[in-house]
Amino acid sequence: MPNVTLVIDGQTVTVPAGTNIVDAARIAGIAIPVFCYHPKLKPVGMCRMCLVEVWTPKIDPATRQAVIGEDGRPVMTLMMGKLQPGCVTSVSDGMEVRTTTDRVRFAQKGQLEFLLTSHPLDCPVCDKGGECPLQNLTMQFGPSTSRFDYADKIHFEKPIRLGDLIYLDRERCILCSRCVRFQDDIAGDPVLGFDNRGRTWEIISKSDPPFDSKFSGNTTDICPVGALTTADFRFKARVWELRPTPSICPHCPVGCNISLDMRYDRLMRVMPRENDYVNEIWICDKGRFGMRFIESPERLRQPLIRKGDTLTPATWDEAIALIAEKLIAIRTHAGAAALGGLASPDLPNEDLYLFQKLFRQVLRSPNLDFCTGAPGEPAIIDLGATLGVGKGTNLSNLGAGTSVLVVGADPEEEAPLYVLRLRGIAARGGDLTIINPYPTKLDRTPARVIRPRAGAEAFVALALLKTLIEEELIAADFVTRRVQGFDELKMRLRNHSVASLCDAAGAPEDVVRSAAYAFAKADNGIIIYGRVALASGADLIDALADLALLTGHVGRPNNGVIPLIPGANARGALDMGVHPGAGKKRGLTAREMWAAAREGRLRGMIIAGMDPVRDNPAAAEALDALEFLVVQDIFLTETAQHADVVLPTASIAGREGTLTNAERRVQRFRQARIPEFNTPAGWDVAQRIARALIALGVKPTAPDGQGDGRGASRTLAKTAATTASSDQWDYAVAGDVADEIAATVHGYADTTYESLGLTRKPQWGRQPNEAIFYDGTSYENTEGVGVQIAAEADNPKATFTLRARVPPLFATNDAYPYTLLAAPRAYDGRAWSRDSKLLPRMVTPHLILNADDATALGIAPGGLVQIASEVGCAVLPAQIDRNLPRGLALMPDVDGAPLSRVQTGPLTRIAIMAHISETVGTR
Amino acid sequence: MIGTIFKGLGTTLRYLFRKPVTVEYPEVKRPVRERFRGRHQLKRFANGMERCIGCSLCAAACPADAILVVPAENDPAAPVSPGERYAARYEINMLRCIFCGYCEDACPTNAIVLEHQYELSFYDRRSSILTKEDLLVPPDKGHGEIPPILQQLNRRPSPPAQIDL
Amino acid sequence: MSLIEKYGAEIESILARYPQKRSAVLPLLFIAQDEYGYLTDAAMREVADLLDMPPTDVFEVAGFYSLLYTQPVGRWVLQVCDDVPCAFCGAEDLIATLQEKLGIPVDQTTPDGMFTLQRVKCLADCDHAPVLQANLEYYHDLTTPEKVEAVLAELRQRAESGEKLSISGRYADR
Repeated sequence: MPNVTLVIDGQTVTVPAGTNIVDAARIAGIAIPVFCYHPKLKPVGMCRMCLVEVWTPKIDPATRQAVIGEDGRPVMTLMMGKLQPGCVTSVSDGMEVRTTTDRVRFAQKGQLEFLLTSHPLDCPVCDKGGECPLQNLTMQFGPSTSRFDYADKIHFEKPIRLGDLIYLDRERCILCSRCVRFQDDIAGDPVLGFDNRGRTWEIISKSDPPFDSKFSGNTTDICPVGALTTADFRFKARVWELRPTPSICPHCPVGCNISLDMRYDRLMRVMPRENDYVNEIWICDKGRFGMRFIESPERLRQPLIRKGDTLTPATWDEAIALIAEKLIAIRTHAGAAALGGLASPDLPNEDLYLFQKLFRQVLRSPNLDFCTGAPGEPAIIDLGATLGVGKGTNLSNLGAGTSVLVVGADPEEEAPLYVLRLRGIAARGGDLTIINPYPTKLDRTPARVIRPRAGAEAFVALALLKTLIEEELIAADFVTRRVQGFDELKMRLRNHSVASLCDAAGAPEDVVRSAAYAFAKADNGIIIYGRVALASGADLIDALADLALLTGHVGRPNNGVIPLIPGANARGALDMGVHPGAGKKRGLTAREMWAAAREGRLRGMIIAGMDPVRDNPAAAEALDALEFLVVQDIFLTETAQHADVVLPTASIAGREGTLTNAERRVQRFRQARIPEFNTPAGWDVAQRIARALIALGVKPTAPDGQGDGRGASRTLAKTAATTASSDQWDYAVAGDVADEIAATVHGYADTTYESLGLTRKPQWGRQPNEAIFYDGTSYENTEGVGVQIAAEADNPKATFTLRARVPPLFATNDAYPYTLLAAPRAYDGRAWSRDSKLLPRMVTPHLILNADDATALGIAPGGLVQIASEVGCAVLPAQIDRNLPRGLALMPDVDGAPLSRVQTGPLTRIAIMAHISETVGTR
Repeated sequence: MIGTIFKGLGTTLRYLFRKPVTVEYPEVKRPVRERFRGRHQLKRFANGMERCIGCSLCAAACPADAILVVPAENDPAAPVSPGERYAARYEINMLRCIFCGYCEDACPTNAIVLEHQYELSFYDRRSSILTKEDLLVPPDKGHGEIPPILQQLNRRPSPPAQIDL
Repeated sequence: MSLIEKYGAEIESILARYPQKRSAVLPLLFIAQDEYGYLTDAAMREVADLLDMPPTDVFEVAGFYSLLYTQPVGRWVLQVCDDVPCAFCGAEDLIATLQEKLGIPVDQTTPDGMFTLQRVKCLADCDHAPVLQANLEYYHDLTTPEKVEAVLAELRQRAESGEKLSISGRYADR
């Protein structure tokens, strides 16, 4: 874009054409006061606070040339003869802006006096007090007195609830519409609006439930007054008393940067922390309101040891000694392969690393996994390590020239912030294709929507591949250099046409072709796949990998694949090697472990931070068959109730560590408070067990290639020499573990706490700490934006083989005519939701059916349905969705959903019938 | 020499008949000046409501960090103070307090006042922390009407503007 | 009975007039308030559903326009202009007469649910001031109580004769 030079208050500034005056002034370091303008939102010019004098050169209408005055300089005229709103006026060459003249000052004073006529001035009790732009600007620009009578102020009943989470104080509202525009433009949930006119103008929300958005908390941040406050932070503390601790949200693979705002070791509120690479300045409500579990009174406080049928409190020494003794006993009489470990993909890297180190090097068992082994759980097929987005990817810069394929994913539920990121790309001119068997909220974004049959998503990907081959849209140079097996792929697809493949998928051919064009022709191509894609299986994921390879959209920044694997740190679990395929010797998967436990081949287990019994009650039987079970968690979960020893650990607020997000960005979170009940971090628990084992004479081995199985040859010799001795288990702080991870885990060389702490230049806005100016709140990122580790494709020498093949069609079954798919839900009601204000929003188990199917089956909304598969049946209420494809039934994967009772795999054939309840019948 | 002794005794004798400067504390207490800053009191309005609205400005102003305020939301059915907010906990650590009176200056409702009580002694450090119960005046000792700015709770909305649009 | 069942054909013809469905929100709200007497919450949600609009947007529209009634009104909404030309020609007298004849103050509805009285700004009929608008039909030159009486009687008679009335003015002569 061409640059424009103008003068603001005597300073000459050069900015891109199209910049508005407020932004241009910020570049020059001049603050024009604003209320309605926000750099992340489109300007509307509603508040009239940014009025400035705009002088432009006078143009002679005859010659279209600037008129030159007697002093040899252009004659300037005041634009429109009056003050102009700076936020909606674009800069132009030769313009002169004056922001401090008497006329401007008079307007600012008048505007503030006017705004304050209907503002209640209850700053001492207002939660925004202390970080309020209205306070700040009144102090800086406003009049100290008012000519209006206090008694004439408009009064509303206060406060009213906009939803469960957000309160509206209509007296305080200055009607800037920031919240309305955020919901409409950024979040894509148009649930806020204006009602009435004039003095009775007010914000309303009429969605069902009211203010139904997963991003509602952000409106309270950008509200320039205290009109919108959260139920979570209402009257908890004054903002200047808070101690913000940099942290990372532990709820999903996005890894949003958050601040835990603490006061005397109590969590007061959660705020976003800016990181353009991850979450800009937003966070979702799950992150904001879902952190109350850390202070739950139900937290485990001390180790518990099973005595008969009860778990009785014990000391740490007793518990660790018992664990060491029992593990050694099992290893002696049944071998190391009789031990297994499951660690949650939500645990930080430090915990996962030491957990697998304990197993691989001390106990010498390869049986490690981060899955629960529930029957419907899809196999984790990861493209992130190989074809993941290139190092330096920043979705917030992408727009025109970018094409994103969202395949089998519901970002709103799996990784909510990606909705904002993808909507942002679309709004900036990017191209978006959504391939999902059922509608999601992302469909509201301007996008190409392809709705394949459930289980047939792979055929869409193959049709895209075939289009690329047919239309010669291949990145030929890239393919010849780095891709093998292209001819074989062509052979495999030889007998198929785009039309036949689309037909197999049930997708329109023209849309598929246009998607292939858009993706191949784009400068940047990104593929995001999620839970439904994983359920669809390896055929789809292989085809997606080939799609990225054939179009050359790998190995570069802003290109590649983003897998949304369930868990906040599934990426880290894969990288640290907490999965059975990581070592030289293949271990048992979670599902195999349950079978082995039932058969008595697996005798002892350690389960860290995971609750497999909750998702899979059948696992309880396997756990009871074990000789010895250790569960390490923050709550007494259903799994923990089957344990022989339960060890409490610190939550994310009570320790520090690192998490790796879906884009392979390693980010550090800090300790926000002294550990709750003096519980140790998970890595320390592993260390205590390892030390006890070594003290009893267990000899640790050298590492057999941690990480993703490729090992870290560079440092292997060094660590091999040192890990052999028992004194390697002397990590004093999490940073010691992180250093060892950096030294041993492939790709993590640059992830020491020092490098993770590096901050980059101001991330958004024009000046440091822009947020204080616009929102009153600081989201400043002082703790580093994290380090994105390289994917295999980032190495220019790495080559890849194409694997896509045409799978058989998903078998139909007349006895079980419907396809059951587990749908991920963000508000799943699991352990994190304890004490949260989100509890009323938690999804209860139900089955979602197509309206026609429901009519055919005689099922009314809310009525009970009975579903049956080859393995079992369940009864649950039905919900009708007229947009769901026929033949598909969705069961939200939430707490209490009877998924494991009916699922035979990720995709299950089921029969559905209306359930005639006996109690209802007799009534 | 002897003369000097008598001179000294004479001074003693003279003072024997003068009004003493000291008072017999604790039986007799010397009155303090009107603006003396002694132990704090939390005041009430005439109707018995607490004046403190839990705004924490006293804690922010306190140079010795002696004040702790934990606010909470008023139950509209049984409000503790006028407005939406009240102090659920209000504590002053008298060992820290330097009696500067900044809290008084900062208070928007004249709730915290340094009164004339200066007899502050404790047997242990913990009892130096005065809680809200210690600081509050009895309910019948309130004064003053609630100013309009605080009458926000349960207030009926303004009648609609008398102009149609 | 839902709107689409009762007014299906009319709604179809309205929707056909616009390239975007949401453009039809005003005519559909007019139908809805005629059907239900005023815009109930449920009615607005029904319109939102018909137009695939977020309900909030429909409430916004209904709150903004003064001819969309979100409170119950009578079968005849009487609107009297009290702007300057009408005021000169006796608008205040007209309002006083109406208040007296109907027995209600401005902005209220008669107990029998027949009339609602409102003050409004200019109705663009200044040459026949003072003007009364009943369901968007003009009644001019109401300078004497007798004329007002006659108009009210006529309106009452029309309502009682079973004539279809529209507070949205859908049957008014345009």
